[in-house]
Amino acid sequence: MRIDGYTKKYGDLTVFDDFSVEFYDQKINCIMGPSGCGKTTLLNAIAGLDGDKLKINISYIFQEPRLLPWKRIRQNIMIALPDTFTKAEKRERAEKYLTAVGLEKFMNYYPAQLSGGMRQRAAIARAFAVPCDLLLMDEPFNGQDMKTREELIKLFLKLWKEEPKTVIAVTHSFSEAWLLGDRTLVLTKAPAHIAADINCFTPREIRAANIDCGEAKLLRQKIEEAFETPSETPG
Amino acid sequence: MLWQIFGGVTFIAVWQIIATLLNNSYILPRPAAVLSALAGLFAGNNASILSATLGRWLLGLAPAILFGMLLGSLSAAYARFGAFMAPLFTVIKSIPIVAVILLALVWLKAPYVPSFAVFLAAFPSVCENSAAGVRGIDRRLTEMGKVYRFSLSKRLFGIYLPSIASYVVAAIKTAAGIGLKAVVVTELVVQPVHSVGAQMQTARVTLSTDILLAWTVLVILMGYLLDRLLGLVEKQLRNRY
Repeated sequence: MRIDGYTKKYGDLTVFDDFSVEFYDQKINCIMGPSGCGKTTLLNAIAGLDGDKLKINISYIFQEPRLLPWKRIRQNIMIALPDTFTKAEKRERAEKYLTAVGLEKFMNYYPAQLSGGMRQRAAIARAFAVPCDLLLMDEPFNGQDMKTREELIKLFLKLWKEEPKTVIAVTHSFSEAWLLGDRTLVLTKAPAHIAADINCFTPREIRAANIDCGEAKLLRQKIEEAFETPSETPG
Repeated sequence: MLWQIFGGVTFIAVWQIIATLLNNSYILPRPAAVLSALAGLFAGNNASILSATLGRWLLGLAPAILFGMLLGSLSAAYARFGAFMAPLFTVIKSIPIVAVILLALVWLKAPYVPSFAVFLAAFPSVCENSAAGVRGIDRRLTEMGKVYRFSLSKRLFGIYLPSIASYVVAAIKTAAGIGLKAVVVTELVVQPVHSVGAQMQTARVTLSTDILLAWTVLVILMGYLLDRLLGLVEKQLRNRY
């Protein structure tokens, strides 16, 4: 998955100017950067939300669950599945992934009847139930309390380990970049370019327990340095 | 509820007192007289009259709902179309019902005039509410639909229609009430043989104010029942979300 020469302007503000980046396949690519640097814009461009139709199948976990309020949880998953599945297959698939996120008892509930954390779990189930090559995430664990956030991250990693796919995850939290990322890209302010590109090698299973280890500290330091990078590249 | 009953009883009591003081059944019959006239309407062969009037009402209301939803949604979704239709919508909204009736008498066969009046009376509220509903559609949901490649029917029945449903039901509630008044007024002018409006006119001419009021009560009752019924649908929709 790569982006070549992407340019985007909002009025006078150039958000991206001939921006190129290559994402690692089957890995979790985290994207960080100062607010307003165009992370969501980039994600939406990749998702084809600003016009072009995409050729690859994608899933998207948004900041909010974005479930249809008038459909039960099960139907919310089923409606997102492509029509190449029969109705019975859709139902089976929806139930399988809802069970995987621990919502098997709530499949007949409406979104409003669930807690925020449960709704986001349903959104994660939807993202994995839809067969996709690329999974985009825009600060998906935001707006949850600490405990729910940890649970959601754990749950996400469990599902992803079973079915690895290319993930591009926008986050503003260092700890998420550490817990999730095979690699973290830090963007500068608009017009954005890549200020840092940091790989993490510590096995993901032991990262939660080693939030203060050498590599974690190094990652944090590099991210903080990259945030100081000015937007204009010299020359 | 207690105060509602109290209010209703007081209203009827005042009516009774005034009617007793006047002691003139032509100007104001007593409540009991109207009630017995109402019983007479139910006993008499009036089902066909009532159903004819309701039929005319429905014949105007149904297309008003259909076209109101369609044109209202489209004018909100496409700004240019909205601007294009705005003058026509303004005219329909402000045109006096009497002008509508007289023009319709020129253009249409008499039995269809009441339906036409209902259509024009009901159309603006459905149209405006549908437009408001479309403007209120959550962009975050349409984006989600785009990401997961919703087909047209999924978008229509999964996102758009449920989004505007509560607006449209509220509009139908208003439109049904306005339409009911419009159909009776128009019947009064046009005088189709089987019609509530003609019956009221006959009652007036024969000085049977009790029957005139009995028909009035009947129309009020129908309006009330419709309002409650659609209110239930509205509540059902609201509770689910």
